Amino acid sequence: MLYATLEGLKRFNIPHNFNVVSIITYYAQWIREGRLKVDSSWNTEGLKFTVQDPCKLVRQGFGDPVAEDLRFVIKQVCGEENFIDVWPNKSNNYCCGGGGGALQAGFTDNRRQHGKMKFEQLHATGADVVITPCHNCHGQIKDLAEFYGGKWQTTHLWNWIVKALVR
Amino acid sequence: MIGGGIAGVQAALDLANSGFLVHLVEGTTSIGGKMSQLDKTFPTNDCSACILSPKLVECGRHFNINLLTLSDLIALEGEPGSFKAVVRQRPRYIDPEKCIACGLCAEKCPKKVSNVFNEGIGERKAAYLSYPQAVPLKYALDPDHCIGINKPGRCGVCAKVCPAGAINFDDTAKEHVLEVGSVVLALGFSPYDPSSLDFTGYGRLPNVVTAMEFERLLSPSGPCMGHMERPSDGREPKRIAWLQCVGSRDINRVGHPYCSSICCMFALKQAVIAKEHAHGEFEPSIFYMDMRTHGKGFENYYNRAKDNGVHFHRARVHSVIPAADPGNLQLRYVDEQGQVNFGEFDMVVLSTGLQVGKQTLAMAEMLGLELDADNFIKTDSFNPVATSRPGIYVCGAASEPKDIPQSVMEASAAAAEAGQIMAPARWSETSKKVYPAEMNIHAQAPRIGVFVCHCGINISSVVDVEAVAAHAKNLDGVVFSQCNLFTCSQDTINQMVSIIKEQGLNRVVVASCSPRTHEPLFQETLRDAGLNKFLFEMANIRDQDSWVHQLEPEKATAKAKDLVAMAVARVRGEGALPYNTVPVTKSALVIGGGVSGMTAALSMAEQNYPVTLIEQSECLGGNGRKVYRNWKGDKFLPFINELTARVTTHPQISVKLNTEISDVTGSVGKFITTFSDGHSFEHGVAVMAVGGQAYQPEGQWQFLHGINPHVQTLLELDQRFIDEDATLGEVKQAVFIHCVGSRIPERPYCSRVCCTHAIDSAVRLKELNPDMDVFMLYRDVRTYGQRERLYQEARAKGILFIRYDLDHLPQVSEKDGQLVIHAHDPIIDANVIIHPDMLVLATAVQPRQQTGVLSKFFKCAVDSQGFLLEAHMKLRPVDFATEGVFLAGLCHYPKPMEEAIAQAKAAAARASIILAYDAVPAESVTAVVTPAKCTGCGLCVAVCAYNAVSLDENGVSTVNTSMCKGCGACVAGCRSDAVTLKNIGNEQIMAAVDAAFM
Repeated sequence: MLYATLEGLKRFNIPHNFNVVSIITYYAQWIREGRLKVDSSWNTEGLKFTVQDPCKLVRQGFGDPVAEDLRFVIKQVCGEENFIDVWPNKSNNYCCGGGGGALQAGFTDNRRQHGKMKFEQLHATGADVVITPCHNCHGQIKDLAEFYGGKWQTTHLWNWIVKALVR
Repeated sequence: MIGGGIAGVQAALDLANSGFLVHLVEGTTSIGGKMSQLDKTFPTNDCSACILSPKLVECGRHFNINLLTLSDLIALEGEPGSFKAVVRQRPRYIDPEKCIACGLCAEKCPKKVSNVFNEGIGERKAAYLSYPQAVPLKYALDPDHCIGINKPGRCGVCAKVCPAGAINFDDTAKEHVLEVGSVVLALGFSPYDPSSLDFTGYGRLPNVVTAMEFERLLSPSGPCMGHMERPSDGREPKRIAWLQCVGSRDINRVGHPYCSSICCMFALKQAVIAKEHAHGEFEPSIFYMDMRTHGKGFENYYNRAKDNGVHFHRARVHSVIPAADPGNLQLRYVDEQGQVNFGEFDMVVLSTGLQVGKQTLAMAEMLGLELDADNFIKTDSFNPVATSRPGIYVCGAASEPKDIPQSVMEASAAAAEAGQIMAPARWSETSKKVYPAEMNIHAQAPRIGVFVCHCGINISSVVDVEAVAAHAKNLDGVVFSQCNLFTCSQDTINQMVSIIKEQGLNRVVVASCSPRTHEPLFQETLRDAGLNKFLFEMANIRDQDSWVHQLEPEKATAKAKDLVAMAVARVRGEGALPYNTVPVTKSALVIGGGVSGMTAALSMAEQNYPVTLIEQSECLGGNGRKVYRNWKGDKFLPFINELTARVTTHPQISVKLNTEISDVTGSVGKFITTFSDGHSFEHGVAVMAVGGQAYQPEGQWQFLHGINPHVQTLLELDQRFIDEDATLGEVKQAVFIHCVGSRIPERPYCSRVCCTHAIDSAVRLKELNPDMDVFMLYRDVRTYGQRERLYQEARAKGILFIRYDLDHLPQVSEKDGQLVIHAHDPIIDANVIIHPDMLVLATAVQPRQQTGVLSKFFKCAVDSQGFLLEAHMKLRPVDFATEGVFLAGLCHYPKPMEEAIAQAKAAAARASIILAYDAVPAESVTAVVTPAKCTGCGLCVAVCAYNAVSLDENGVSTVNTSMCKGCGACVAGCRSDAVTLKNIGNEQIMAAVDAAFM
């Protein structure tokens, strides 16, 4: 929806008096300002995290800055040492293979074949958790893990912020 | 002259040497530019600093070059012939008059700064010398980082340690208003910054470096002293990948539609040199789209690299990601069969392209110069160094990406253009030194003076200089010795002149730094004192003594004494030598009436030198008359007709058609050439512009040419364009075959022009008939530089490109007169059959058969292919080893017309340097023969590279002094000890040896 709004405003040159900002940018800003207090001390087992850069959010959307914010938040939440980045990453990351309606439109074999590359990339990190701040990516990556035998847990970002909240 | 890179230095030297005062404005602290950062140069693998340094030193010492470093041109007004230029010179904070380059300021400076000269690898100090061979060899303070400048009163360590009192924290900017006749821009380029190309990993992965960074890693003066080490862990890489076209030929991410022209050779060179640096196994791989080795000697270099184990992958790499092994890199790419491949490497070098620097854009705006679509300074096809503003010229990479030889050619060409404007003012602004009459020392006993230098503390902290001076006083022939704090400082130099006169010295020894930098200065001091400059010797007690034996002062002092004794022994036996000169006949001969020859003739004639232009055929114009247009769409015939008219009507040019050369005698300054009509002509210089010729297809390259009427060469097609042949529009299908006769074992060079020419002809056919199917059968598309746009245009017009290689030559046959072509398309891996109604062959450019004969007349060399061989492929692209003879055009190597014109103007500039003088200096240290000892074996004649030695009518060897270069090959070769070099004879050498072992 974020991308559709952005692209729509741009393409149809719609006058507007508001900014479109990703919630991730706000998470990062609030953490930096100390308004959102998180602490990674919960992660005593050293769960390893990696991330998916959603195409619409990063590559086609806000580019590297939002990808940096995303990583900043994850590192604050899970501990700097527990974050393993994928390669290539940020604006140059691979597509999950589930977007553009692929996840909903059948052709499951093709979709999974496309996603194989994403699976192998994520698998190479050895992470226990893959954070996917996009519903589409979430669905695809969860399915890929089940289908190809990935051992990670696929989740959104907010779940872990909740876990790390300082009460 | 704006810009002190190689192009700027060359243009400054050419102008200063032909009688003009040159202000050389350089933005940084020293001249040398990008070339000074290179380790080696292609295709000769010369050490870049070694071939560049002499030019820089000459520039720095030149009487008529005013070197303004840290300076920018900030305003220019006026007209060609009388501009007023305002130059702002930023403060250096170290007085160059006082700085002795001892380096103490840098050693003690507490502030570390990223080393810009090493492309940011490693650190230097805020007090710095950008590189060891910098000219001027003067330190500077970095105002962005120096503590003393930014916080007055703080630090100031450099001022405390400087033995010369050269530090000046209160230094201020100065403005110079210069009256100049012309402005030449040599603004260079800035390498593309690949940070934004995230798929390369540059900036995130330490072992991904740019080509310039890698060059510094290879360089002996670089951050790892020439030991190849990768940045992440200092390990020597065993597998390196070069990625081509990073920042070039990329309209998607980069916005540079052009080819940077030099990076293919740059990468090849680095791969070859890295292999030399490596210990043990080393695997270089180059990932490329087309290998563009289109220059002289380049294709051979490519072939040798292939034979020597450089791997080539025709692929654009998708991504560079970290491999499992720390520091290593994994490359993902698709090969030609469409398979995804992975390769692991220890290091990746990005062959970053060339782009226009920000300063160039600002300068162009300030001067009101037009830029082209790629922001390079716009030039004209037929006047390749002229900008859009009269009187302002451009050379080097600021007008299009180009290599060093091409930049040097353009530099000389720009010098010719500027020289034409200023010709009436020649020698009017320059100053010429007048020396006192020389003392005749012939019958005098040696009275030797020895000056021992402290060099601040450079020498005296290790060597006991007082003891050395005392030791010298007791040597045979020495009547005077003293120590000086800085022998090269202006006050000591003045003092030396008076001491020579007062003490009646007739020979001088200076024991100091190095003759490499200081011999000319001291020799000049001798001349100022009325002594012949060859009565001088230098003992190197700094570079070769105090600097290398710091821990053993006693032994260093003993060595210094020996070195001084040896120098004294040598100088004792030396005599005055003549300053040989050859008078100059102020006229030029140009051989060849093509565009190159006519351009060279016109350029010299415009500088008021009489020129005779000879042409073997019955008309002027040469090959240019056979070509329809260039890649920019400019037609040749109108230009050639106009040029011909200007040449034939010029009062200083006499044209002789249907004329060949039957004999040449003499040498630089005075050649006498006899023509086929029996007339002879005396001239001071000669320019060879004898052209080239098209290869006539034969054997497997004939492709039915001359048999089937539908097969023609590019030039034959051009004739039909020129004649506006209406039937061309009726052609439905046309095929071009590239590389017909080029890049094969018999002719292992690329003909440079044919890719562009063929593609432009194909585009022309599409213009005549947009529905025509056009196929190009090519090996590598070599539309170098901005010609790449033409290639893009061709593909946009639907012209199809099918690659072939030597194992899969296209097969051409005919059936009932209809052409049938079988080819293999490697991309779809399928055989293709085409039935065209026209086949065009892009044939090779060859040297003319007569080139070899002509070269012998002027004792010039030819290469293995029969092209004329210049004095040095990198830095002397229009000179011959034989002085006074120059070359231009196709006889040098295949080249498009704009390059031939630049080269012709360059040849004219180089020739004009000789014509500007009444007499030219010749070597003084020459070989002499003792006739009584000569057995007439002729070995000296055989080994002389300069044709200076011959046997006279009695079979005795004689040396032509005006041609002798004093190399000593004949001396070493003589079996009878009959040849010696003046002042470097057995007696001097043995005397020095005796002194060493006494």
